Amino acid sequence: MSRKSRFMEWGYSSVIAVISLIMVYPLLFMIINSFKNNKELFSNYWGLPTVFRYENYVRAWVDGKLSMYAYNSVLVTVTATLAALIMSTMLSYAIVKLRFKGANIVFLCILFAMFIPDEMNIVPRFLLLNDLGLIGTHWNLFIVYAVGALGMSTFILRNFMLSIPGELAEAAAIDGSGDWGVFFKIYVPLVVPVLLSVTILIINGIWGEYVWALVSVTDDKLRTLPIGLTVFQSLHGSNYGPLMAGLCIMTIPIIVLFTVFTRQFVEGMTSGTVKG
Amino acid sequence: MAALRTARFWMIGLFVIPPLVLIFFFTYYLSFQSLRLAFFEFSSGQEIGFNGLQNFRDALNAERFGPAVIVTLKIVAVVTVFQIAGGFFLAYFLVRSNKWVQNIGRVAIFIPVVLPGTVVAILWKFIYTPEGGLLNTLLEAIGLGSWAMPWLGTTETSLYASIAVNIWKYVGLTMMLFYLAMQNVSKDQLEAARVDGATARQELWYVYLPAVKPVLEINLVLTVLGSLRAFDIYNMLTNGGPVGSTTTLTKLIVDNITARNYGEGAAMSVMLFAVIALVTVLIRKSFGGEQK
Repeated sequence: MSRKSRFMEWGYSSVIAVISLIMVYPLLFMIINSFKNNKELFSNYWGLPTVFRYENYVRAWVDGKLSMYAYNSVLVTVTATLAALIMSTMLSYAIVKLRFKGANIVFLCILFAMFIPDEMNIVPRFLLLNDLGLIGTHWNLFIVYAVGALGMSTFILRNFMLSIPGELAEAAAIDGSGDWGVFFKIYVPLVVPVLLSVTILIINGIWGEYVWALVSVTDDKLRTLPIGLTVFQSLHGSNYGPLMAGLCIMTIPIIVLFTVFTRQFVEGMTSGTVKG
Repeated sequence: MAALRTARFWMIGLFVIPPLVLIFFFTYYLSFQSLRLAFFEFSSGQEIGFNGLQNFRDALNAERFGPAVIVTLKIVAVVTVFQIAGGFFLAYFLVRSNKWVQNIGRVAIFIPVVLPGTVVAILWKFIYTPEGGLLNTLLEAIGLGSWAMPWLGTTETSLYASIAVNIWKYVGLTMMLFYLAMQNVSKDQLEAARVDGATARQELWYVYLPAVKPVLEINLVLTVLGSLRAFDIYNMLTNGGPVGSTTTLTKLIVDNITARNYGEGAAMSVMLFAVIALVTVLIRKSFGGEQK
């Protein structure tokens, strides 16, 4: 490498380094200051905490009722994600492998449904779920989130299954496996890595979902973290330590997932966007 | 054989019907309902009868409609320009950086993408707090205290301060899509360009830009559509204020639902959908032909 291009590389690298810092600093600030009280925050704005005030987390978790909101979030996220994964894996397998009449039409229906913006459905969905008596229950978010994730995950899984060579299934069929055997012994194991990306994509979407939760959940006992945190903020907004602790509580699961599955996160988010 | 076929028949039924019914019910049926509701009058949440185009007229004539359109268009314009250009140059700088910075930088810049919107909004609300907020404290610390201001509290700055948060959160995704496409540029192509004596700028123009063109379309669709639907961050940062300066179209829809003006809300949803569909087709068309 010439001296000039080495110099250029150094220039580009330092720009990226500075911008990376700007992008991450608010997050670091949030974590550091979740351990201070207001007095310590303003006397020692930029520094690390001298005393770790874990009680901020207790206040957010107990007094701020984040334990309740977190429970709702976990419950809804886990169940809706599982439901979406199971249904879309089965549906993709049927479309790709069970070759029935209209399989392509089914797929097109699902593809096209993804292009309908969610805002279009908010009003009638609220009225429908209200008529069904589900608005005041956990079922509301569970159903809406599961169905919301269905299209995207079917799309990604179906595309992946198309790339699985048919010989694998034929070999298994010769060994005496029926459709169920091929599904559980060949397709499900092969699909696991992609399933991981899809799972992360779905979890990330549901964990932070705001609009529908805002419109449809009025009972505080059913609120999930995205709304729960704004309630907490409006009640304790100027008590920054516990507020930051609350933000950390909601962020930690996502950051842990992101740290462990960085590649799947990026793959999920980018393939999820490249849907057309 | 017949038994096998029946078994497969039941399996198809089990695997296809539940998800298909759900999709039909919760997207197609609801969209159709939305279209229908847009033509019905509601009184305290109850449907009372057909009223033609009145909901559309009411929606268009609402005092808040015009300003909301302008706010939304401003978001579309500013976010699209800065996020696409920013994402592109970040990706370009990234591929030109050394391996070490590249590995850390692409993850660091991507992190805000995965953060929940609520966390982002509440965090930035603190950053923008006039007294003791991160931004003003920082400005004072570096001797620019005179620039300090209530960023979310004035009609001149609230929208652009919110847009900055929007870009901060999503520029990583735009960058990542460009970056992945740029990695398809082979060493040979770059060698060839260099042998031909291409300058860095020519290389950018003739090697990297064509390489990211297909992704540019995706990025455009994502940012334009995302901005047309902008709501959550803006609503949480400012609740649409001050004096409507950050009230977007989706905010109007949501407000109509909360006020149980379902007909008007549905009429607005239908119009927003029409605009989104139109814009998608336009973007596709303008890229069409050159692709595939």
